[in-house]
Amino acid sequence: MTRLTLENISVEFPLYQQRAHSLKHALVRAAVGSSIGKAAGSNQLVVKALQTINLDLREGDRLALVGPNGSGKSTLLRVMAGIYHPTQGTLQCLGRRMPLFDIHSGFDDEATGFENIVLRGLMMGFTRAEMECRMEDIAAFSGLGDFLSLPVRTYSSGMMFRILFSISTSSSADIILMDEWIATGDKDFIASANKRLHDLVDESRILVFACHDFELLRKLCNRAILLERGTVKMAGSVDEVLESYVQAQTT
Amino acid sequence: MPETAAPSQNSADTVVEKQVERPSSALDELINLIRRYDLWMTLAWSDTKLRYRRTVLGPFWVTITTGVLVLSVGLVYGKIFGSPSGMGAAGYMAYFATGIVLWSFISATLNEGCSVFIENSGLIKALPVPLLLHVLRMMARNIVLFAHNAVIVVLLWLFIQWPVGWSIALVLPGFLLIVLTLFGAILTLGVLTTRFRDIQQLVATLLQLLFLLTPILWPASSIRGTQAAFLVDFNPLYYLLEVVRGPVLGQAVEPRVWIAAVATTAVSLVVGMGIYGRFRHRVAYWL
Repeated sequence: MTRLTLENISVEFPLYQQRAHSLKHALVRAAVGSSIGKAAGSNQLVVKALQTINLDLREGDRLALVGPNGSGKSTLLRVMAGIYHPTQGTLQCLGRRMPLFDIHSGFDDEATGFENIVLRGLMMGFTRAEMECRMEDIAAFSGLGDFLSLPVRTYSSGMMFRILFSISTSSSADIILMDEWIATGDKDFIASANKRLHDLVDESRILVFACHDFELLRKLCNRAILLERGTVKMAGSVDEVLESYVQAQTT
Repeated sequence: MPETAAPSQNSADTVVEKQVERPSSALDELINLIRRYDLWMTLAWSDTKLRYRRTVLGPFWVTITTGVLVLSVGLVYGKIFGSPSGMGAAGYMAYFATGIVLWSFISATLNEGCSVFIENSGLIKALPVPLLLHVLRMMARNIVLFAHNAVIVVLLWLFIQWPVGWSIALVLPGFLLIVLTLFGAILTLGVLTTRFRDIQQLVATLLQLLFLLTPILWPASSIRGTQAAFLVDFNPLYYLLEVVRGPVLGQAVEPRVWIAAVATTAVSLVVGMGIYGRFRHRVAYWL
């Protein structure tokens, strides 16, 4: 039974070698959509990326994360993915998570496409045998053919994207965490990439999706929260939250 | 159409941290990761293979360099230290070869260990892979490198044929002590360096100094009974080296040396796991 629960989650990023100059404070606070302040009980400057977030996601929930840049959407996704352990609060997760952001990591430039498929797959939690089973599917999906036998440093950025995308989306998961819709590429690839992402989303039990494309959010999600400066300003249906967001931006 | 059959529940979930009710401790993380030895061993082997791609001599490059070092230092310094220590020139060369091969392993691992999390920061912030994976991968990689270097000692033995007894089997537990000590040290240094970046430079300088102050170039016997004896008696690296070097050279190793080595390992592991356990969740914030 898939479930993702966040209780009183707060995340504070320490800023080192920064002095708390008040003018600088004010300017930066105005420029960046998150809160900058002092950590409780110390003189250290921190960025309060998330403040007391409470969420309970069950099977069937497709949550849209909406908010201006710097409001904490990416940080929240990373907390859900288990990358950032929250400074306060607890996270409980039942089910296999698939983070779909930063798909460029874990690659070795000197290794061939095939070798990187195995390496990246190992990072994602599969065994070598499992990756070798999927090798054909991944290779076929990427459409890179013989290029897969060459070291990836010879690839163009579009080709890199193809292989990264193919590996990252090669298996389904219970909980999908997505930061922006990652399907891009040339005319051929974008169609199959879009289809695959849609399939993955359909097969998942919980989806958390941070995005600025309202149409996409309306299509894929059934709940939404509006983040502002690390707090949940509003929670509700996708339409309600998007409307509130637009109003807040225009006033 | 992506495969709907998810990977076997065991393999993926034990690597991707699954927190249910109670977050797993650092020790749980370590045990789970050790069980997934296929993961970091494959990565370490792949790293090693890739390191030698596009080179002419491949892995032999390492062995040859070490061989040249051993021969040149052995011949020159053998004349200085050979007679006074009673080892003879050949004995000195064997002594130095074993010491330098072990030292290279220790110093390379410690130097790389400082930046182990920093080097992998991209991956750490993209996937919830347990941090210890990066440590185990790096250590496995350096052990493979050590094996390449150790060939020199074997070749030397084939040439000189110094007497070696059954105690050669003690090399394995001795080496294990070194590996465990290094593991604990990397946990400490890796975490601290991520927070205070200049520790890496400090460690590099300290290691250079320790190389000169530890019996590798000069035999331990040469300062026995002198004022400088503390360099040997209070040097944990001496004991760690000696528990492997002694059996390799066919010499008896006193119990007190073993005790000191085990004590060093214990301290390193306790401190390392303590620091790692306390700060592992902060590492991503420090990158």
